[in-house]
Amino acid sequence: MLSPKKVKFRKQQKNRIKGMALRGSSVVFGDIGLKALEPGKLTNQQIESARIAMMRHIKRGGKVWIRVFPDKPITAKPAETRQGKGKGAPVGWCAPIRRGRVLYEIKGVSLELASEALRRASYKLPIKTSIVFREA
Amino acid sequence: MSNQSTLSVHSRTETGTGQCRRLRDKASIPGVFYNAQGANLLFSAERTPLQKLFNKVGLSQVFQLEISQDGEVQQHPAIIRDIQFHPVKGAITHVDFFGVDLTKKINVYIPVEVTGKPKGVVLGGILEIFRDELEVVGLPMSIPEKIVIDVTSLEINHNVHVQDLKLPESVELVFDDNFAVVGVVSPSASDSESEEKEAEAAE
Repeated sequence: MLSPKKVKFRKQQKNRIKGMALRGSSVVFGDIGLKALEPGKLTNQQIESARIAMMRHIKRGGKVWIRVFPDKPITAKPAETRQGKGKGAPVGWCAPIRRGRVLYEIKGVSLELASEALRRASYKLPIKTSIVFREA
Repeated sequence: MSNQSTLSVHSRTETGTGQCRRLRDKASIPGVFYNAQGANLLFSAERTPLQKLFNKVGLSQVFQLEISQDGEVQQHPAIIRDIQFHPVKGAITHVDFFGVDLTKKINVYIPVEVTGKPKGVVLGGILEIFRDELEVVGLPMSIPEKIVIDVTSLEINHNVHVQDLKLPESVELVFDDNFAVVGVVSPSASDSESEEKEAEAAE
């Protein structure tokens, strides 16, 4: 699964996701892509799960680009622990997504096949998405 | 290659974020027109005709721009130099028009279109398009809409290189190395299958 090789700090503040994606909001590598319509955090499991759903539908041929990377650590406290005693331990990674961000792109297969693959991938994600095509 | 498309726009004096936002609310798109002689004119265009024009001419074809200013109408041959879209809705939010001199050459990128089913694909190869668009230089009116490549005779591990492409006489391709534009790769060379196996293994 996707995760950073090395980070400077083990834990980060949660932060809020505001505004729209001013970069990475258009399809540039493939012919068709999946765009986020609302903000959210995608975990590396969700990103991988959606990728597998796509690859299984495409079967052979074609190329898939993952346009997001989970580089933000998620922390959690163990079960049945009292509050306090500091921030929890890192348990995973996520990618903060602003609305408008292109998450996946596909090229090299028919648009119908790619569209269906992206639709299947969208069910694995916790945010609303839409299928978009390359401009011009 | 046609000069048939025409777009009428109105010059504007309002500038800035707020004014442009109010224009967009009224289904107008703010834009700027400039040329090599130093002209620089702000305008607003109707959204629907602009969208239709963009779908037709793209970023490489010349069209006739009519700018009405103080009751006068100026006509300029122009191309769409840059276009901006809303990140979520995909609607046009701003446009740049570049006034071209029909006697001087310009550099533009034009899309590549592939036709036919390659022999190599019938034998199990995979068609790969390495370049979606190519830079060309030529007179504005002779620049083709797209470069059509017939790949019917292409076999496995064979490529169509940029030097092999034929264009109209007054148009030239811009390149340093003779790179491949389209090719048929053998299925073993494609890494997509190995990725699939990897995905299965991961599960």
